[in-house]
Amino acid sequence: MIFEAPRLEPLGESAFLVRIGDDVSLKTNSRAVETAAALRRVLPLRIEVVPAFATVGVIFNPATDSRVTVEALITEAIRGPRVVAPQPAKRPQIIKIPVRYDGPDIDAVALRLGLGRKDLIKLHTGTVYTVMMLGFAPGFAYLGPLSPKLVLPRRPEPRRHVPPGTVAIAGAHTAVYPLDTPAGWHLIGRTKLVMFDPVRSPTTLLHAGDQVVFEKE
Amino acid sequence: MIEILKPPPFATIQDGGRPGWRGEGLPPGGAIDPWSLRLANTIVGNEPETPALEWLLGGGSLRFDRASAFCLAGARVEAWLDGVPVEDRQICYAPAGGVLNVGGFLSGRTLYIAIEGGLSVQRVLGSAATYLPGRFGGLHGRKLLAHDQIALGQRRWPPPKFNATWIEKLPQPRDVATARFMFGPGWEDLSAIARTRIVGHAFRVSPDSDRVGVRLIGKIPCDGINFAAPSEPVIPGTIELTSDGNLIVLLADGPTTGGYPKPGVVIAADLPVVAQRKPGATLRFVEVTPTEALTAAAQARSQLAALAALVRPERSRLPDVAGF
Repeated sequence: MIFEAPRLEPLGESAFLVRIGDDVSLKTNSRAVETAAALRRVLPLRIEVVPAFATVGVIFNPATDSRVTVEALITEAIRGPRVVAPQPAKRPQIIKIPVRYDGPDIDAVALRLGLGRKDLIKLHTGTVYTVMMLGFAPGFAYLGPLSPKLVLPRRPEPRRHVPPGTVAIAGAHTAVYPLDTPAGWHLIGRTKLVMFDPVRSPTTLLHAGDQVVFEKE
Repeated sequence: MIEILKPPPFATIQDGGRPGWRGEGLPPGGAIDPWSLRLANTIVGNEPETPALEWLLGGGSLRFDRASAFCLAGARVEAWLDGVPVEDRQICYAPAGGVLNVGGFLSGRTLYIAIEGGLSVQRVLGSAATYLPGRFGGLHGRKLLAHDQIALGQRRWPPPKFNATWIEKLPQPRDVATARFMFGPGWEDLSAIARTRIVGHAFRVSPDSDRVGVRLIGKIPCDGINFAAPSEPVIPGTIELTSDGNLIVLLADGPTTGGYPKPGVVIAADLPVVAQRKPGATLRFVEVTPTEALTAAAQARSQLAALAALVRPERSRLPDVAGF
């Protein structure tokens, strides 16, 4: 649900959360991404604006920017009339991610969902996903919504390591693990694309609001 | 150059970190006890966030290949330069070839070793900080190993001036067992019993603590709490309540977003307190207002600025440095 008015909550003395709603729907999320863009327009560049599913984080350095001023700027931006950025005339480019569907969990996942491996791949490649937020690790993009036929809870025991480029699903989302991190999601494939590279510009392949499809390699 | 002779269990190169990339999911990183990093650098006349060694629990040794001023700050350790005991929060002078040995940690968990001129490594996204999960920054993106050689930066002229009495009034986060915090977005969702426990209890620090966060054994009653809330932005200092009733206080390498309930956020001025608690030590929380949090941070900044003006009077435009 999207709240009637966004709520402003302190996150310590050097950050605020703007709460747009309380769910992980695309509708709530696109409002969060839109709010983040509106905040970026009014806040100085040195202040970080971080969109998430239903919230936007604003993180600043109180030695540089006064908390009262930041709070006032945010309040003005979220209370004022909604300014929707003009849509680009062309449809946004869809980023294609080639995948080898040979992840260690793919057969177990297919079995649990009552699907064949081919159906699972068809469902996973048959959706244009939206990048809802980045978080958990650099370049880790939560893509959604996943086909309801592919929704599963996370694994009870997370793996300690996962190779970068591993494609995974959990809940209503799918993602590519950018780094060797612990992994609680179900691993269904892998891609050769580099999701995060600190010496590349931009560092991450995907950004909040981008459109993505997976293609069977 | 310095050379690591015997590496401690976990040492990395850290500086002030690389804020600015949270939207890409990259945490700010840098020193988990920013106060002690800045203090050690200030004492040797460096800019406060110059790259230095961050050295966690455990002994080790290193050799200086050129005569160098250095300073230890943060944890209190047993340390010797060529066999002669050295004190922390003081300027020490190593001769060319001098060997610094660090032994046991007497109190605190995180030691900083700043060297005049600083450690010189390639910067990634504007910072020398080692970010282990991404395997970049610092020296090859990893912890320091035996035989590692780290170049030193240019020293400035004139050499730093330091008087041992100048640090007497400065706080020592390693000796503090209470961290001040502000109520967080998840405070209202807690039961009265859970709230009482968080503000009243002396939590024990779990050995399972690292640069991502300090884990606290809690046994906090979690009845009725929603652990399936959407992930949202978090910052270092955020206190997360995990479904087993324990707490994690996030530090510099903590993720940029998290889905756990967030009862509170430790104020920036007390992150050093959290970073200095040893496994097995206790930590309590006491609630403060945003104004108190901002005042504490501003006070720490002005204390360091005043010290820097004494150490490098030639750089200070202040005609008179009050407060010391």
